[in-house]
Amino acid sequence: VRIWIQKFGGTSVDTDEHRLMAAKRVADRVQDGYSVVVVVSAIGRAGAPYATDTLASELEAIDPIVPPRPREKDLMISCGEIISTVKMSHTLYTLGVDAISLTGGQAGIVTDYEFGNARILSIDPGYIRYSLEQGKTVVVTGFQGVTERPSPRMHGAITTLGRGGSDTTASALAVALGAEAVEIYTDVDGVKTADPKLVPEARTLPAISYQEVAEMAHQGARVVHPRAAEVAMNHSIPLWVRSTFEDSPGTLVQIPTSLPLPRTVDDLLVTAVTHSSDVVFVTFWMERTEDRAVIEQEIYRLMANAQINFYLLSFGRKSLAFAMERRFLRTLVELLDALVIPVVDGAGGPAAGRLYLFRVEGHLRTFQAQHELLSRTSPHFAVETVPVRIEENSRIVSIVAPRHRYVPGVMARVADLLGDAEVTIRQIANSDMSLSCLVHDSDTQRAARALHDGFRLHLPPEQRLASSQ
Amino acid sequence: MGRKGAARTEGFDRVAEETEKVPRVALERERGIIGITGEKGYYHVASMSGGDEDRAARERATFNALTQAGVSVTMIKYHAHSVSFVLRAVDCEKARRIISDLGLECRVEGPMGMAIIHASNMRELTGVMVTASEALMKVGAEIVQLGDSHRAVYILLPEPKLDEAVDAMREAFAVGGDTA
Repeated sequence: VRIWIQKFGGTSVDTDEHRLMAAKRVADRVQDGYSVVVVVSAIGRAGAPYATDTLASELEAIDPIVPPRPREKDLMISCGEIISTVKMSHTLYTLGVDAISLTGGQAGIVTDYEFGNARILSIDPGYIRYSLEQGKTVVVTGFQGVTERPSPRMHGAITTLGRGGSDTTASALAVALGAEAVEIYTDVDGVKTADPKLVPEARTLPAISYQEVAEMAHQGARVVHPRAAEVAMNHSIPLWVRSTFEDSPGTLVQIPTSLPLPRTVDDLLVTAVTHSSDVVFVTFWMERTEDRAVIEQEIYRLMANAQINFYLLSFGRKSLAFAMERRFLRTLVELLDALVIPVVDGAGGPAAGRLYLFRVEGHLRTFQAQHELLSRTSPHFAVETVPVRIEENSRIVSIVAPRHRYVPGVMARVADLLGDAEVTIRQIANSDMSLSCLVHDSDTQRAARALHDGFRLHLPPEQRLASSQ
Repeated sequence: MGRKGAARTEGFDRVAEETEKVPRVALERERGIIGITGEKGYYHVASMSGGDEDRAARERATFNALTQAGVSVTMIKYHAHSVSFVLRAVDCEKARRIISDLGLECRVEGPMGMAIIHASNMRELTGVMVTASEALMKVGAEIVQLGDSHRAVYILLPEPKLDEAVDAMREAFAVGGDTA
């Protein structure tokens, strides 16, 4: 049996017309002689009646002060995919395709207990195999699974897989069923060298490696989710990214082709330019260096307790800085506004030491009140100010270039290109696969265009290499 | 159960039995810290490019001159009045000379070691730096610079403390030296 997996995202099933177009893609593959397993996301994006966020907000609206418990929330939001799946199954039936819909649990997808971000542990594909053997096309809900049965007489709980859950469902099913390939259908015709909204000259990549596509997703591109790419990569399952609405070849995600190592930065083949969503850049200033490690540790602890992730970490002689997602800004300000970290000197004698008082830019009132109070009530402690600067309206623009570490001069080229485009680099980070620059939000498009043009991404790799000889 | 129902179950049981014979494959790997490794032979260099409006031009000149000389740099960081980076010991003197020739003050610290915390998806993990900094404080290893990607956190620290720092962090995270 030749098995083929097709996954359709929310925008591919958000209207009757789109769903019909998606269903015809399935029917065509069935016509080709494949046993097809279809994975679908919930219908539409935030705001649509059965979109994940809409369903979650139904629960949250019951009492805004009492957040829904993760298990209950997962059960609620899993309904979005169920509705979408059954509608797709019936649409296929109207086209003469004998289709059956299965929930994640019915499809045998077993996860851990991390509600909201569950990990697929195993898949028992018996029900799917049986249905395929009966000549049916199987439509499976994306983004969900079920925990293991706590006992033979109890069912597991429905879990959702978190970001990229439907992509991951498709890849994992492909592995469990030994499928020939996975097609990820979306509203663009493949993986692009940049977001075409920012860079109209962006080219569709005919092929890309699993690692590159994962890096692009990590750096903000809305392509295949890294979890899905990793599962497919570990089992060498080819992934195709294609448009539901256009007949174009799309992008094949596969094992990387071997290329000669670049000798100079001109030989370096940059894969794509990406940009992140809004981030804020936070800088702490610490005049006294002897307590620095303690202060830093407390900052890390506060961030961890508030579940705030940060990146682009940077140490100065008297500063610590990092970037974080904008959605955490309010929580961060609440945590830091007039925060006091005491550092007590050695044991014995009267308690004495330093009180580090945080002053968040633009939030002076609580700082002043706290400062006055501490100065009056703690005579044996010196009050030291830790100014905190928060720069909003930032984004991270990155080049994804797997071999950039092998050649000197990549940073120089990036600095030149952005400098010529009058873009100020606020901070930099690099990994094995990419080099990222923090820039002002208003510079994002200029930065993306400058890097796209400068590394000649509008040309296919062979033309770029030929012209650099 | 009627005949039709029995036949249906029979068919399902056969497929289920066949499926059972197929070995289970590991799907998504466990999330979290995978391992800690250490590398020696680095230097930390700061080029005092100033805080005025010509700073960007001076920094571009610095990077271009380093490129011309074939010097690779990593962990580049922008500060209020300087840009710092990390390079291999073999390039240290070359870089110092280049920066001085550009008329800029150059500060060099080293030798440095790089402790690397490897993770499956660092950006989804919270609390990594709390555990790491606690472990480093215990052995008196000062963090000189940090770098991060979605796969790793890179911690630059004085080379004599590297082995102790790696051991302390491996113990704190209960991992070994795996990288993937």
